[in-house]
Amino acid sequence: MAVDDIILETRSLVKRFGGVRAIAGVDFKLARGELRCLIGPNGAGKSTFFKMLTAQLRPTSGRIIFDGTDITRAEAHQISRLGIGIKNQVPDVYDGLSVHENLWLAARFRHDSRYARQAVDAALARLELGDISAKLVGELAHGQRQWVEFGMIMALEPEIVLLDEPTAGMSVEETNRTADLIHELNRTTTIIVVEHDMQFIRQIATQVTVFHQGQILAEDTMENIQRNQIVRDIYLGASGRA
Amino acid sequence: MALKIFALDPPSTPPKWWWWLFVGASAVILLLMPEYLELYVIIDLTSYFIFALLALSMSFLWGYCGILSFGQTAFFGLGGYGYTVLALNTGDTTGSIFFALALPMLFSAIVGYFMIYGRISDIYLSVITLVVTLILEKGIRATSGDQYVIGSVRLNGQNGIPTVPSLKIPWDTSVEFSFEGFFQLAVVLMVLVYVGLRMLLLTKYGRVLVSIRENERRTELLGYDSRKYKLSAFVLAGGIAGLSGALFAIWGPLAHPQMFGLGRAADVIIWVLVGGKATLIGPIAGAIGIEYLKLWLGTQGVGQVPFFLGLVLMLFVLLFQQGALPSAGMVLAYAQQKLRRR
Repeated sequence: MAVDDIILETRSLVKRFGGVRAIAGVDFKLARGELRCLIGPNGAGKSTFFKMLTAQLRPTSGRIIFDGTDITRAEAHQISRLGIGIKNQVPDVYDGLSVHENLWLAARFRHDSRYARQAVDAALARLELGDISAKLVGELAHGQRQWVEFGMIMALEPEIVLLDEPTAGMSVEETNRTADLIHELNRTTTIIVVEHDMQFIRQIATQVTVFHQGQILAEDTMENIQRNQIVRDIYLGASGRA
Repeated sequence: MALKIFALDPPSTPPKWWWWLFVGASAVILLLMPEYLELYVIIDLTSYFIFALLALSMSFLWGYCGILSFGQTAFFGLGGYGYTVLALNTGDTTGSIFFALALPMLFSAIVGYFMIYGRISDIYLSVITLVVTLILEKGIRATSGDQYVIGSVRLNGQNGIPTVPSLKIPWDTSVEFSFEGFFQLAVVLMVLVYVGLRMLLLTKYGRVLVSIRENERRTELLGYDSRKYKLSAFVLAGGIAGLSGALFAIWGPLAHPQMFGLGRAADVIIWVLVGGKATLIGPIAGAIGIEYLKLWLGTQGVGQVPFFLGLVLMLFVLLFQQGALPSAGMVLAYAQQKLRRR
């Protein structure tokens, strides 16, 4: 793997909460175009790691480098400007605004007003939200709200997308559609997904990084990870065999 | 329910033809009023329209950007005192009006910078702005001594400055605005600010402001620097409040510490809440309605005006949370729906 292929990298990243080391020196590398899943038991530090990558938490020490730029101390709005799209676990949308307005706000950040309108129409068609574009997002079903957020991230045309449990609370059908969306997104962007749902990870993952006690325990393909005895012991346990 | 209301007045949709007709017709009727109404009515109405400007500054900030500044009166008072002191010193009333815009804007930029870039939470912002206006009130009240002079103007502490110069016509400074002319000026400014804010909310800037009210973190994650947007809105609202304050001092004619006071600060909140904070027209109606109610209660010999205002506020907070105009709009929409079904 050539060095210039690395789009996102962390170097001995540490985050302390009081005396607890939630992240204890993580060296992480991600190649451009990759689709990577972060897994790990509760408290393994993957959410903390995600929040630091997305500038929602400041690391105690260490560095985060995105595409050659040090973003360790960046503000949330600068992260997006660099081309990082973020989807938190809870749908982070404008409940009081229409579907159209939600998408427009994202598209307008990247484009002039004429192209923004086209980008919104394209996103509405792609996500099959055209019929409900005038509806308030707060009135939509949970799955639809998640897709509105996907649409917003797509409209930003990011270089990399970070998703925190994108299928939380979704039905099987919705989960399948989300997997398709992620694959579609992956054609043009690099993706990191933090997930619990092993079924879903099997559906989408090529490479998996396992967190344990604030450190990276293993990094491999999903098949190999499932065969890895240490990983099974600490994490997969009952659900891994199921 | 709250969601429905925002849908009634979506800021991103351009106003329909009937809105322009309504604004135009209202402006013409108001401008013609001095022909038909008694002078004392005109003078009372002038003050209502001046208050409507203050209400607009509050509803823009609170209803559309989600910033509850409890101390818009700080900028109102600064505008009043700024105009008075400069106009008394220089005699140039037009320039002083612009100063009454600039001074509160500068002040709100400084106060706002520390609050917004310091990322303090909304509730602290409300408390700090309230404290700022109360400090200014106390400060001005303490200037009764004759050592408190700016240029040739004594600040006069508790008594205020009663010699506020009347506004002169910009192109002919030997002529002062008449009561009727000043009334028409207040109407024009109120309509201009109302239409201006409505148009501003159609732009990218306005739509991003509304998105910050809805979900500030999401707006930041989209890449917008929300602090810039919030601070500029805060400064703009400060300027509008300052303009309102200058006009109020001229109307008095009196620049008084009460302009900064708790009573006035609470009035602004009541106007906006009663009128409907998620609209721009509601707070105008709220300011006019509540001020008229106060006047009427006074003439009826009711001693406890604040008590009745409190009752009105409670009524609205408990029963019509969206305010008078949005509630009326909902009733109309409901009736329309019922009629259509038949």
